[in-house]
Amino acid sequence: MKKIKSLVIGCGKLGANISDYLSKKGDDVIIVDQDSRSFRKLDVNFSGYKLIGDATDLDFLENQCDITHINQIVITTNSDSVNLYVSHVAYFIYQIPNIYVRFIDVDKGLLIKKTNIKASYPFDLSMKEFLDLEAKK
Amino acid sequence: MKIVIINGGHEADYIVKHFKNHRNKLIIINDDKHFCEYISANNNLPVLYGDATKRYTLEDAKIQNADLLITLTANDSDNYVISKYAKDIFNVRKVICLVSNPKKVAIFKKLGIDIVISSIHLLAESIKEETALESVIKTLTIRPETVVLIDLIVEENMVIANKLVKDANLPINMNIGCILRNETEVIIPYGQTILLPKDHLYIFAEPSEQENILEQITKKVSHEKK
Repeated sequence: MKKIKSLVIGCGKLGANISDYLSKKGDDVIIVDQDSRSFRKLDVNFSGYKLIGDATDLDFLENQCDITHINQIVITTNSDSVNLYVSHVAYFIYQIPNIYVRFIDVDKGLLIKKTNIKASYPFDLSMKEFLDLEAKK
Repeated sequence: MKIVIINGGHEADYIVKHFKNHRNKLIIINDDKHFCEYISANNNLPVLYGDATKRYTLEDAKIQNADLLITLTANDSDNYVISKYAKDIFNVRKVICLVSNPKKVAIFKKLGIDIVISSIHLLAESIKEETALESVIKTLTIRPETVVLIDLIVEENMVIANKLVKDANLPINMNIGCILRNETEVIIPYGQTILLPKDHLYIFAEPSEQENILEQITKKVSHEKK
């Protein structure tokens, strides 16, 4: 079986943990962040590539991240605007099959309707968790 | 017209002044409190203080069905989000989006934004278009990269002088929109119109064809007549 090539944008707590997970699973992983200091969140055994750069720059995505050969992209920067833009670029320009994105603002979900971009919302998860906890009281 | 202007400092202020009249309804949103007060006091108009990348801000501002939205934030991705909300959710007719990175102009357009402006890109394009011309010929870029209007004066020694439009052997990828004769007479030309020396020709063309067209049309009569 061919190796899955995964690109993770934004090395925050979530991006770093997803990268560790995918890399342990055996994917080829590239993680991108604008700040090299973010990479210390990665596990010492992380075996993927760490790239410093701007993910909204298509030259960077094409020449350094080899985005035309990526099967899956996970977008978790701390800016919802950047996350939306990069997910649209991944979907409309590069037709990447699997696109995952994190949005802090639930309303950003309105802008990915009619696409197969999959979004997760920390707000929804926290709310659900609260309701579950409250139900168990 | 209902016009929405988002963020921007002095450029927003300038645009507000430009559009401010009884026919236009202006909606101004700014995320800088200081600038809100400045623009508001300066133009005697209400300004909404808020983050326009949030759907509820745009909803509170009642931008639904606006004719035009201009977004001038300093962050390209924020401008993208605002433009998308305007087009996809609020049914705004036309969106003008500022980008600072000129390489993004083509991508934003591909992603469905009507008009994308980068000041660096504009500057480069107009330098390219202006330098293609001799100083006597004025051009006006109507839409960058799309269409230019050329103002050309017919000279006695040009091949096209004293010829009918149909016989002047004009390049096909241009059109003479109108002719100004003796500074007052406006002629909408057709095949039988004669091109006289000192006529101003107003020519529409694509910027990429501009140089070719001018070269052909300004060709001088060769002196070694047989």
